[in-house]
Amino acid sequence: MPVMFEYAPRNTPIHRMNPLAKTIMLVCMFTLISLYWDLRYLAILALIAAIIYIVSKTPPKWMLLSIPFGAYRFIEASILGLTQGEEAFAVLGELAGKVLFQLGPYYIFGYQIGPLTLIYGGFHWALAYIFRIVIVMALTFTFIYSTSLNDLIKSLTCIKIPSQVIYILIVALKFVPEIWREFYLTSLAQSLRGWKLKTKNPVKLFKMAAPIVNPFTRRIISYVDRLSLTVQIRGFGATKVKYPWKIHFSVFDWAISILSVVGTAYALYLLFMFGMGTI
Amino acid sequence: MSECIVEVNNLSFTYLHRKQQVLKNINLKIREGEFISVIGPLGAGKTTLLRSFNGVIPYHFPGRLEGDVIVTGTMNTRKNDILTLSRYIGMVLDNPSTQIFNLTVEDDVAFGPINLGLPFDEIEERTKYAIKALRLNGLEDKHPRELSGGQQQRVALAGILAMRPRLIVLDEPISMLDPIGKSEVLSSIKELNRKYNIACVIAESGSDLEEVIQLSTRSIIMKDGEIIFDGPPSDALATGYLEELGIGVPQIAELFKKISSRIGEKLRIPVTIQEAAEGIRKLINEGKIKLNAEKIETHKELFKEEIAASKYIEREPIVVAHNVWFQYPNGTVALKGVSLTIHKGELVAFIGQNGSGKSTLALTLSGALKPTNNDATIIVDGIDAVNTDTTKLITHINYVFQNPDMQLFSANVYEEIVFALKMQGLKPAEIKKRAEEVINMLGIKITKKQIIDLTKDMKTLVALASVLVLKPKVLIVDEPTSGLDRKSSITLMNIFKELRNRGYTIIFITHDMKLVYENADRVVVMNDGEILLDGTPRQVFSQVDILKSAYIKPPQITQLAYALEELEIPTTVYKVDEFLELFDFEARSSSGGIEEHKEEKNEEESGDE
Repeated sequence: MPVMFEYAPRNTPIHRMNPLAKTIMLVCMFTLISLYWDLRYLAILALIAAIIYIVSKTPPKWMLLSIPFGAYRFIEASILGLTQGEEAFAVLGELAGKVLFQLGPYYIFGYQIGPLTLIYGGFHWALAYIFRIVIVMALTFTFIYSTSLNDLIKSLTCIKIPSQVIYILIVALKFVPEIWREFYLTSLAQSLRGWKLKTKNPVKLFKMAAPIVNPFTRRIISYVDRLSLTVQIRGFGATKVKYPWKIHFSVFDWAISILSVVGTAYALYLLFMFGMGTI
Repeated sequence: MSECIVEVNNLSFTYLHRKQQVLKNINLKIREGEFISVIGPLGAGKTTLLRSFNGVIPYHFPGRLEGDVIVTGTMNTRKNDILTLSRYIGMVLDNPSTQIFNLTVEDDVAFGPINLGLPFDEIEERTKYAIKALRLNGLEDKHPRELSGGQQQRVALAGILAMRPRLIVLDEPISMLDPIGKSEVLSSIKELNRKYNIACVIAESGSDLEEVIQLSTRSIIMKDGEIIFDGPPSDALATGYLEELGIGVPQIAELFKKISSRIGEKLRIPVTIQEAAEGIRKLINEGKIKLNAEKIETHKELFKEEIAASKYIEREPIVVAHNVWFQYPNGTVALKGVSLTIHKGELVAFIGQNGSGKSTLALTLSGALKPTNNDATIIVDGIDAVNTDTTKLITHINYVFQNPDMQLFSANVYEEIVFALKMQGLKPAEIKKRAEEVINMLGIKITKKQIIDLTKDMKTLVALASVLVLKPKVLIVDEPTSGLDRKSSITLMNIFKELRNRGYTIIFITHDMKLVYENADRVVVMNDGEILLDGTPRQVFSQVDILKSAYIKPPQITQLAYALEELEIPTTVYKVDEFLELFDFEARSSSGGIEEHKEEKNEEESGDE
C-alpha cells in the first residue's frame, strides 16, 4: 500500500520513462504554466496534466491537497484582482474592465472607503491562478509517484552533478524519514512522562520544547558522526568517483523530450510574438 | 605460517580530553583466516582496539597514541589514513540502519568499489560477488527500509566484502538484531571466514557470547584496556576470567565446569552443543556419569505440577486486553486480535522477531497507540485504556523506550528524574520525596552528574528512574539491555525483580533469551502479530519445535537435552543445576575435586538459605 507522497513501483508508461525525460517534460510544462494566463490555454495544459496523472495511476486522493491550497490562492488572487486596473490586461481590452461585483463606496466619519470592484479581468486572473496550482500539483505528484529517487539520482550523475552533491541528496533522502521517525518516538517518549506543549507564548514554547529538541539534536549529531565514519570506512573520497551508470533513453523518452522542447519553443514563440496565452 | 595482516606493537591510547588510558600496552598479531572474538565488559577497550586497526583511531577519534599498528606488514596506521586502509580492513558497526545510506541494496554494495575508482566491469563483478556471498540475491533493487535487521547487516557486510578486505572487524554486529537476524549474520560471517579466508575480529560484551564463541578460532579477553587472555576459545571459557568480569559463560561451559568439579577431572570445555552432547555421551560411556531414571521421573512430575500450578493460580489481573488489532497507516497489520491478561506482580518477557508485534502490543497496552478495531478492550488497573487519554494513564501504566537517548534531555540526573513529577504539577516537597525514593530504590548515586557524561548502563537506569517516579503500577521496558554488557544486564534484571517484589508489574521486551529464562516469571512469544506461546519459561522453552518456527533458540541446556534425544532427557530442563540433578556421578579420584564439590555444595546451600 503506497504511503502518501511516496514513490510506488508500477508498470505504467510514465513510470517506465527515464527520470531525465520526465524532468524535461515537467520543466517545459512548468515554463508554459508560469507564462500563460489565458484560461483556454491553461485548460489544454490541465487536460495534458490530467492524462499524465491518470496514466501514471497516481492516487486521486492526493489531489485533495489542492483544495485548501487552491482556495487560499483564489482568495488571495481575488483580493489582488480587485486592485487590477483595466490597463493591466493586454488582450482582454475593454472586457477586462467589466464590473462583476462592487462593494461601496462607504463613508465613515466623512472618509470614503471603497468602492471595491471585482472586474472580469481580475476574476479571470484569479481563476488562472487556480488552474496553475492544480496543474503544478498534479504534475508534481505524478513525478513523485512515478519516479524512483534512486533512478533520479543516477540520472543526475549522468549530467555531471558532483559526487559530493549527489551523496548529500542521497543521505538526505535516506535519513529524512528516519529523522521524522525519531522525532515521533521522542515526542511519544516525553508525552509518556506527562510532557505537553501547553502554551502559545513563543518564549515559553521555546523553553517547553527542550524535552524534544535536546534529545533530538543529540540523536542527529550522533547520526552525522556515525555517517561520516561510515563513509570514510567505505573509502568515500579516496579517488575521483566515476559512476558506472549510463543514461538510457528509450524511443518514447526521446519522443516525449523532443516533443516537449519543440512544443514549448513554438508556444513561447507564439506567446512572445503574438501574445497567445496572455490576457 | 599464514600471513600477518595486522600487527599491534605496544599500543596505548588515550582519547582527546580524557585522562584515562583506554588501551594499555597492547601486543597482538592477526593472521590470515583467523576468527578472533574480543570479549570484555563495557569500557574494557574492545571498540577502541578494533578502531585502531583501520586508522579510525587516531584519525576520526583523535587522542594520544603510543606504539604502532602495522597493516599487511608495511603500512603504519600513523602514516596511512582511513581511506587508504579501507582497502585492506573493513569495518562493520552495531547498528545496520546507519551504515547503509544508498537507496538500493545493489548501489550500497557498489558504493565502496565506486569510491576506490575501479573500472566499471570490476565494480559490477565485485558487487555481484558480494551479493552472492552474502545471499542477497533477489534483493538488489530493494530499498534498505524494506529489509529486516539481519538483511540490513548482511548488506553492510556485502558492502565491505565488495572492497575485498583482508580483515573485517565487527563491533558487536549482532547486538541490535533479533534471533533470526543474529543467526543470519553469524552464518554469513562464518562463511566469509571459512570459504573466502577473510580474517574476522568480532567484539563481544557477553549477550551473544555463546553464539560468537562457537565461530571463533581464538579468543581475547580484555579488562580495563589490557589483554588478560589470548588463546583458544575453550580455554577462554575455562579460565574463570569471564565469570570474574561479570560476563559469565554459556550454559554448556558452566555445565562442564560443574561436572569437572564433581568427578574431579579436568574436562575440555565445549563451545558448541554438538561438542557438549558428544562430551556427555563420552562421559556416560566411560561410566563417569550416569543418568538416574528415578530422578528423571521426579523431574517430569515436578514439571506437571508447575503446569497445573500456573494454570490454576488465582492472581488479580491488572491488564486485560481482548481482541486487539492494530494497523499502521502504511497498511501493516501489526496486531491480529491479541487477547492477553497480565497479573499483578508478574515479571513478564515479550519475545519474538522484529516486526512480530511486541513493541506495538506494549505501546497499545500503555495507551500510546490505540487499537484500530472498534471492539477492542484494554483495561489497565480498572481503567479503560482505549478511551482514556494517554496522559491520564501514565501513573497506571508506563513505557520506557529502548534507547535512553530518546528521552534524556535535562542538565543533570536529578533534574531528569524529577521532570515527570514537575509535569504532574506536584508540590516541591512531594517531588523531592518521590525522587529520593526512586534514587534509593535504584541505587543511583550520581544525581548531580551531567547526562552527557553518563555511561550507557547509567543512562538506562536514569531513563527507568525518570518514569518510575510516576509510580506506574505496570511498567513496560523495551529492550532494556540492548547495548549493555552482561554484568549491567544482570544488575538491571535484579532491579526488575526487586520492583516486582515491591508490587510493581514489569513487562520487558528482549531478544536476550538467557535473561528471559533466568529472570522472567512468564514468557509471551509473539509471531506475526499473534501470541504464539504464553507460559512459564519452562513451558515455553520446552516447545523446541514451535520456537524453531519463530526462529527462537531455547536455552543451551534445553538444546543439549534435545540433542541427547536417545538418552530420553526431558526437554523441560533449562537450568544447569536441573540438568546435573538428572545424573549420578562416579566417586571422585582426586581430593581436590571433592573439596571443590564441597565448596559448590556449600554455595548451593547458602544460596537456598
